[in-house]
Amino acid sequence: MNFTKTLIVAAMLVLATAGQSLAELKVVTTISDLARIAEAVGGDDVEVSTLCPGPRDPHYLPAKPSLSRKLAKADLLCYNGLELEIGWLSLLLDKARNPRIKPGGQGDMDCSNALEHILDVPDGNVDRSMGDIHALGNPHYTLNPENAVLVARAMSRRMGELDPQNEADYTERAEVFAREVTTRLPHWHDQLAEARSKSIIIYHQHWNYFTHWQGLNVVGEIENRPGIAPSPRHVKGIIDRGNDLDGVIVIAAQWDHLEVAREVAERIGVPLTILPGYSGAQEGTDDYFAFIDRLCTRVAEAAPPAVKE
Amino acid sequence: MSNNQKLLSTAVLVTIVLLAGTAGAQTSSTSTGVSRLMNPALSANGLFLARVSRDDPSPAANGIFLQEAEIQMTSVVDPFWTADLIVVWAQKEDSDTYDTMIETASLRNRSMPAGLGLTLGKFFLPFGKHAMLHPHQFPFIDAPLAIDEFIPGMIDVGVSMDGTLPLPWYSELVVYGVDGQAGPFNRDNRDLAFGARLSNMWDISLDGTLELGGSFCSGPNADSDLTGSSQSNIFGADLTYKWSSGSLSQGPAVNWTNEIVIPEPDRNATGNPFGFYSHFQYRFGRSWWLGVGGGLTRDKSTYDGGIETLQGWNEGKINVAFVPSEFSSIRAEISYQESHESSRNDVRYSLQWNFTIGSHPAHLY
Repeated sequence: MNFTKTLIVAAMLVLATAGQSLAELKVVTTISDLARIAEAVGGDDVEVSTLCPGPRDPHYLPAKPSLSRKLAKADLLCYNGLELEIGWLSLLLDKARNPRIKPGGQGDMDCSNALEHILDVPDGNVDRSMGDIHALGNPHYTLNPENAVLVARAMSRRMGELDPQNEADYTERAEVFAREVTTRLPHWHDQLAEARSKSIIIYHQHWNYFTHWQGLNVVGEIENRPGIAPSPRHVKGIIDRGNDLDGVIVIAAQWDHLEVAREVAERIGVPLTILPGYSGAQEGTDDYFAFIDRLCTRVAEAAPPAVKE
Repeated sequence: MSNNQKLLSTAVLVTIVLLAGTAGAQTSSTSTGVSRLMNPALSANGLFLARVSRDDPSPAANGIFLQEAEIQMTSVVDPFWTADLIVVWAQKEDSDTYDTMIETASLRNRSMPAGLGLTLGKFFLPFGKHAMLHPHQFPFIDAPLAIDEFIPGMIDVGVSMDGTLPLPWYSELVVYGVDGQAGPFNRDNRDLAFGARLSNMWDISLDGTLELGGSFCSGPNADSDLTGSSQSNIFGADLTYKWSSGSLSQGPAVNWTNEIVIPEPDRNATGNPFGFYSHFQYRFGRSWWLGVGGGLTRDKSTYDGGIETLQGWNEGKINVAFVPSEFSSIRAEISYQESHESSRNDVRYSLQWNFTIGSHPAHLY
């Protein structure tokens, strides 16, 4: 009898322990880059899922109510902010009916608040004649790994607040992530040495943090008004400009309207460089570092060294 | 307007302007800074129509019209509520005057215990897919005949509760009790209307979803002699397939919606009335949509010379829309309607355009 009792108590203890391990922090991120950072910071103490898969342009994610199922169970929502998710996140939050992650809730985290410097903040009047302009600034900041470090540290603080028991682990993992970035910075920097002497034409302002971080020289945008198809006149102007310059690199994301980007590259006489927009957007870029590696490698390949005479 | 009325109006207007200026000067601390942050998100929409009818010479079917103008305000009220207010000026049928209508004035709480949501006020009743759309969201210029005939104006005042069911797929149930003012009902007694909608959605691929919905509502009617009851019951079912290219921004997309509406038959009728429509839309360019739709209604039966005839209409339509951004569109449409039991028919050629300014909330999926 005593043996049976002991077994029952042991089973209860096992279940209680199992329950504790299952009680990990449920983190939902809006974009895949934030998911990769959350996984790096949270480790085994968190369960991370993302709303917008890597291959999809987060500007235009359909607000499928089925996505709100993830949000309904979330303890922490990490979103990009700067109006990247303006077209769909509020609808999903409404359907999720989860007060923990509503604006102002403890699990509501706008990751852009971690940034020290936001690019492309419009000075002066903003209106929609400028296209789908982000009035708060360019939202694609995770393309600069130094920003990813700031976000990782902010995530570790928030995760620590929500799960004080593992606070030290979150802090430690964020610092491991930061050290990894610091270790890789020289290599990424060296890779793009030649590209710094080239002229870059980008399809959309998606690449501004990447080019700014690496000191690349952007000379034009094919999509001159965000979210609006470029006019033939503007495209011709970009082609003319590219033809006037030596060493041009044309960059687009895999979800951009590549027929226009291809035409521009073709008429300038250079190959089109198609880059993954975020982690997981192309095969082999699921990991955040693999994603940044891919960006640097592809741009470096598009900028062959000048032939010495 | 008489001269005296004009004078009075001018005086009132000048007084208001002067008072506003004074107030602005005296209370600058409340008209800037934090108070401005607390202003609701404000947007306006204008919907215009140019139309020519082949067979209908009436002014309502021929001309250029401002169909509707709308002002919408949305804001968080306090930690518990979010409020929506939508005021609409809609053109009266067969007239160049406008009705002012409060389309929505409601409080929403989505932070109730057990994941429930609560809505109080005046709102669109959740019945099917089309009845919840604002006119500027319609996939075609006119609502389907099935909607116009059996569930027009599904807006009412009351309370609604919603929540998701614990199922492996997304399943949302909404139940409501309202005053009974909505289009299909007639509130000449103290009866209230009530109803429910169950919507199920499956992700059948990364980019495609299938939604299956069922709706029911019941409310007071005015003609219990005809219907045999003082309550009208209406049933509905809908099936929607949506797909959009995940690999291309603003790339190809498909919306295919099918809906059937079945009102309870009148006591004296022998046929089973129903209405059905099917709408297919395809985005074939970054800013271009093609729409093809059809539908029919079958209403109560009549006996004509001993032959039973089910009254009703058939319709078909096709349109092309240019949508340069989510804030404007222009579309050309040809629509055809024919009477089921006679040779009456009509073809309409329409051009519709609309704009949205301000901070307009995103539309539901």
